[in-house]
This record gives sequence, C-alpha cells and structure tokens, in this order.
Amino acid sequence: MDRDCFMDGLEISQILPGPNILNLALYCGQRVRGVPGAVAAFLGASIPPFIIVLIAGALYFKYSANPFVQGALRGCAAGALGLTVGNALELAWDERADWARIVLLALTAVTVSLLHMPLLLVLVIFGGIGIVHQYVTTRRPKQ
Amino acid sequence: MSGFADNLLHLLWTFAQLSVLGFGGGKGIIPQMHYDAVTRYQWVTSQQFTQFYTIGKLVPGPTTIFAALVGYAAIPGRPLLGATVATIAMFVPSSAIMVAFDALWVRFQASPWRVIIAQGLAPAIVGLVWSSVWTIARGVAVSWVAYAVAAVVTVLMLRTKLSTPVLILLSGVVGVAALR
Repeated sequence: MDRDCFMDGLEISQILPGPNILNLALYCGQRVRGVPGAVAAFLGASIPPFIIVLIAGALYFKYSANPFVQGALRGCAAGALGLTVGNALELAWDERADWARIVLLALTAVTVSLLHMPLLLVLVIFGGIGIVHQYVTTRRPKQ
Repeated sequence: MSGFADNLLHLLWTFAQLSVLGFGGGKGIIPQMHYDAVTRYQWVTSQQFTQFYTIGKLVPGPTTIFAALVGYAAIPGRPLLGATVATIAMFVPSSAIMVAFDALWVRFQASPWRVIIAQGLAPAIVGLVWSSVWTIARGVAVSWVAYAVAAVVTVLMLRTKLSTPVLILLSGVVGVAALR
C-alpha cells in the first residue's frame, strides 16, 4: 500500500459513518486481502479495546461506590468535558471563514440541545442545508 | 423473560441506528445516544453516561467503544451479553457500509460530490459536537472545582501537546483530592 492509497483511505474513513481508526483499518485490510482482510482488520481493531473497556467496566461496577474512586471518576469526567470543549472549539475554528456555516453550526447545536431533535432529522435537515450550501458555493466561481 | 428479550432488542436497534448515523467519525452521535440510554430507556444515569464516555476516551481505540459499558449496565443479569450486543450493534453496521462502499469508491473518488458531501455535512457535525458539550456537562459534578478542571484541560489541550489519557488521568488526581 502506497502513501496516496493510505490518504484516500483516511479521507473515505472520515466521510462514511463509523470511527475513523476502525474504518481506516477496514480499508487497509480490504486493500491488502479483500473482504477476509477487512474481517481480520475489524477483529484486530475492535476486540482489544472491547476487552480493555470490559475490564474497566467490571472495575467500575465493583468500586465506583468507594469515595476515592468516585472522586477520581468525577475528576476524570471534568477532564473529559474540557477535552470535548477543546475539540468543539477547534472544529468551530475551522469553519470561521464562512459565516453561513457558523450560523448552521449554531442552529444545529441549539436545536439538538434544547429540542432534542432526532439525529436522523438533524442530518437530513442541517446536513442537507450544508450540502446544498456547499454545492452552490463550489459551483459559483465556475459560472 | 420477554422484558429481557425486549431490552436486548432495544439495545441492538438503538446502537445499530447510531452506528449507521455516525458520520464524521461518530463525533455527532453523543446527544442522541444520551437521549436513548438515559432519557428513553434509562439504562444509565447522566452521571454514569458521562463517566462511561470518559472511560471511552481513556482507553485506546474508538471512543464509541463505551457503548459496551452502556450495554453492560443495560442488561443487569447478563452484563457480558449486553456489552457484546451493544458493541456489535455499534461497530458492525458502519463497518459493513465501509466494506460495501469499497467497490463504489473508485468512481466516487473523481466525483466533485466527495468534497461537497464531506464539507457540507461538517457544520451539522460540529454543531452536534457543541451539543455533546452540553450532554457531557450534565453528568459532571456541580462544583466549581470540576468546572475549573474542565477549563484548565481545555486550555492545556489547545496550547500543549499533552495527550488525552494524560489530561484525563491528571484530572482524576485533582478529583481524588478535591471532588470526593
């Protein structure tokens, strides 16, 4: 597999549903050995995290009542919130060049947070508006 | 017994839908997953949901592996079964789409729609990530210490090269000292 092929895999991994790392593993597996390669990549990329998270889960349910563990979990959760905020800021910063995209982003966030709009509808309505907007702005310079 | 089977089917169906709708690396599914797991089926509390998400960020691999922990809690008598069903439902449908799409990829690669779809979906996905901030915040302890930790971690993440697990574990140390 050459570098271009890897970059293509990364790009398609980011477009299609599913975790990027898992999708990239599937892409590489399929390129090298076809569907059996993809199956092997799936197992290799999902079983180790599954086992680790199961161990974490067993420990969680056994010890989460302990005040020290509860303190650690509360601290870790606050840290994860901070990471999510950082991630959201970085992603929004990437959209800053186009005010229409910022408005769409804010509308999505408010609608989902306050009205609990179902994910499918969010993707159809706000994703759809975004795709139409992108289509129009991509075509405009050529005309 | 039918309650058990119903619960298992709800788990399977819920995570399979999230899997198929997980555009943008699954970043956008957190608000819907919270609605299903906490509000609709009450498999976990808001606090548990946030802590499971945290564990998902801490362990190597995709964050959405924390679906396994929701499944673990959802089927009280058979936690391993719940975890397995949730994980399969979370990862198999999106993987099947990825593998099936391979044949179409060669044609799609040269198409302008590739960029239009990826770029066009981005604002909605980022909006969903902002909504995730609200979702995750609901399960964080109501305490100025917790909010201060979150603020400091945000700055450290943006301004330093400290890794995700390091930042989460450092926050845990602060938690042991000040959030018991």
